[in-house]
Amino acid sequence: MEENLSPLFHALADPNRLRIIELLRQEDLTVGAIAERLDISQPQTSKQLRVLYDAGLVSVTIEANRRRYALNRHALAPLDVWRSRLEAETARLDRLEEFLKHSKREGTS
Amino acid sequence: METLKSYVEGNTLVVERSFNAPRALVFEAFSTPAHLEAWWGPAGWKTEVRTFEFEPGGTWHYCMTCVDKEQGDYYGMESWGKSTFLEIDPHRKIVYTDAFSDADGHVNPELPVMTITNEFVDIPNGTLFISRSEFTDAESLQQVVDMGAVEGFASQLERLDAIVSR
Repeated sequence: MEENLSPLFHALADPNRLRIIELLRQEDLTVGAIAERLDISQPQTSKQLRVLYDAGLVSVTIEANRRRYALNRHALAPLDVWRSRLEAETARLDRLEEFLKHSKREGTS
Repeated sequence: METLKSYVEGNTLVVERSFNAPRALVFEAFSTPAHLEAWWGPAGWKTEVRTFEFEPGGTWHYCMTCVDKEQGDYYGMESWGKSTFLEIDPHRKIVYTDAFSDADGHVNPELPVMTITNEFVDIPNGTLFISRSEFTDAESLQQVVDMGAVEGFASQLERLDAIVSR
């Protein structure tokens, strides 16, 4: 698993790349099939797939000259943890904020 | 005053937030058991502090219990946590480990331990709070997922998009 998560977050910070992941969640696809469904050019699709590949998010198999891409679900695990953690932390700080408001009112009255 | 910034640095999640409250008060919210019980646990969960030794090497053992019937399967569930304070700089900084434990305070060695560094900084009209949550290694992230402590990725892309574009 990738030790540094920054490339992973970078790879996901793009709408087309998120759409590619969404497609690959359902089935493995060739570059051509992805390009067609997203209505973007093949070179553009290849470029985005390269970023996802470098971040460890997708793997590729070559069949009869065609590159078929698959999602590495395992690579997404850290994101689940971070997202969950961030949501929990955000909610907790919301509660702290409420608590602090309440404490100040009590302190000043 | 509700600025919230979050980002990932390597294996560390950083969350920044400013509060319209004096630094001493924000610090006390983290260092007084009665205060922690008031706000620590998730909505619908009651937090009970069992031990709280606020000194380096001291432990903080607590239980969160779901008291909200609306939460279905979670209702009545207990979740025990045990923290060990590593460093305390009054009104400025608290460093501690955060682990899963049982009611007797035994830390589950199978599950990952996080190191949390909380810093409290004066800003005009309030306090900037900076929290860094660090997992010891990437493998432990996988363990957290495997134990089902977080939702799967399935329907989360939109929220993820919101997070990464923040």
